[in-house]
Amino acid sequence: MTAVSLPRGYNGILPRTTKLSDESYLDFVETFRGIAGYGTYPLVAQTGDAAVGEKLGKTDDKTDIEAIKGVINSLPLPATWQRFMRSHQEMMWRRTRGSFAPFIADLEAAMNEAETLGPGKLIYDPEFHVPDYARREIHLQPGGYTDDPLGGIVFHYGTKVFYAGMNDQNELHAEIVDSLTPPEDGKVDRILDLACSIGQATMVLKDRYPDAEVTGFDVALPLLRYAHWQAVERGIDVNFMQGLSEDTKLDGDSFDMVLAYILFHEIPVDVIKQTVTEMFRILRPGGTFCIYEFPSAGPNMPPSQRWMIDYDSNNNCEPYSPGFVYLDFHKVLADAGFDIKPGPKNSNGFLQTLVAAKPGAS
Amino acid sequence: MDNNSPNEMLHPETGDSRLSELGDEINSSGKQFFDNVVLDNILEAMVELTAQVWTYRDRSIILERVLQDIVSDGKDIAALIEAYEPTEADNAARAAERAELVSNVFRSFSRRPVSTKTSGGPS
Repeated sequence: MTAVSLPRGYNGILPRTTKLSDESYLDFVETFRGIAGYGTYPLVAQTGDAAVGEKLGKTDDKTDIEAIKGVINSLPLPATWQRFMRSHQEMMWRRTRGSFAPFIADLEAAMNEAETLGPGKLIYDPEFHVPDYARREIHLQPGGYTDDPLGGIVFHYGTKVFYAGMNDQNELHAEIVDSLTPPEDGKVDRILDLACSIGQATMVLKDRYPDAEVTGFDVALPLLRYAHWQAVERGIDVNFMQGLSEDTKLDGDSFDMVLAYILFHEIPVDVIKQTVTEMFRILRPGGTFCIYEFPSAGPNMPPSQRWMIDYDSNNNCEPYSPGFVYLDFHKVLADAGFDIKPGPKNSNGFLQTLVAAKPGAS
Repeated sequence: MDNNSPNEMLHPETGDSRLSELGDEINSSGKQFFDNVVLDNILEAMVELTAQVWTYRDRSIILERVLQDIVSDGKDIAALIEAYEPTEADNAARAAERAELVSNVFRSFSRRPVSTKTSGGPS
């Protein structure tokens, strides 16, 4: 197999940008995000919460979000923070995509060739219809996850910037995989990485569970094609499959463990409910559904966090995240039949983690 | 050459039309957070300008490191750079880069030539 010869090669498993100027520019964006975004947010939140308290009194998760926005958006610092967040996110995607776009022919040729190679398989139906809800430009990524043939490599480098260099070699995905909760009986023969994107956790799963059959599953073919190419390059025996989380077509009672990493805030509420039901169907009795996800709202969620989630939804193309945040997700899991326990702590303190087990023994 | 202006980026040398049909979010007029859109434009330009400044600064750091590695006769690289006399071709290339820098930094003002916000932000 012929690897794509990117002009500046790779840093471990991460492709380098094709020009030094792209790397420098994106290094700046990464640093700016850390300082002006993450670093400033606590002060934004403190300022916003204080102003809301002064203008609206005590609030909870039922307080009209428009009233909260009316107060916080009128403050100089939160408005500036929003401007900086939106601008640097646009800069990141423009430059990342611009760096790899000239190499689209080579990249597509490599991904095409990889489809004929193993050890694992890439499984998809050329007639598969991507539903409209999945075709949004999530996080402002051009073409979203589903429509850009370059989406895989653009996602890989773009999320490198998002993770501020902490996931260059899949370190955060490794942390998640290492914290998964296997079934109580310890039997892990088949694992599903639901909404696997470019397969970063999928490939770590195979490393940690070498005897298991591991499948990465996603709606986005451009990301799966990139994932499969990477797996072939590294000789990792995992399968990737395109499909819908709410209707996987996979056999019932057939998986021991399912991982869903930040999936549910990216899909509409009706699809969330169908997906939970579907995961209950495909897990075998005693199987575990390990969930790492946005927080759910509660009466103690500060107004600044509600404001930030609203910002993210409206200005970072997260159209479905408020639907998830205000959903009683525990009830959805319980209604499907799962037994729910808190999951392990994660270094990303923003996320909630849950372990939903399908009752019964195998 | 720093050739990443939006238009060049979206129709690269490949001529692949699929690349130019995407990116509604990042290529539209974007968002407005202040009642006075000029504030949005100034702030966005400031971020872009700083990115451009760092990009050039980073290159010059690496350039001087590389040159110093290959020069073995003790010449002062910084002094040679200061004394360099550009050719006509050099100047044409520099002018093109300069124009591109200005276009990138000040893109925000043409993205949002009019205000799209009715109320709710600082002015």
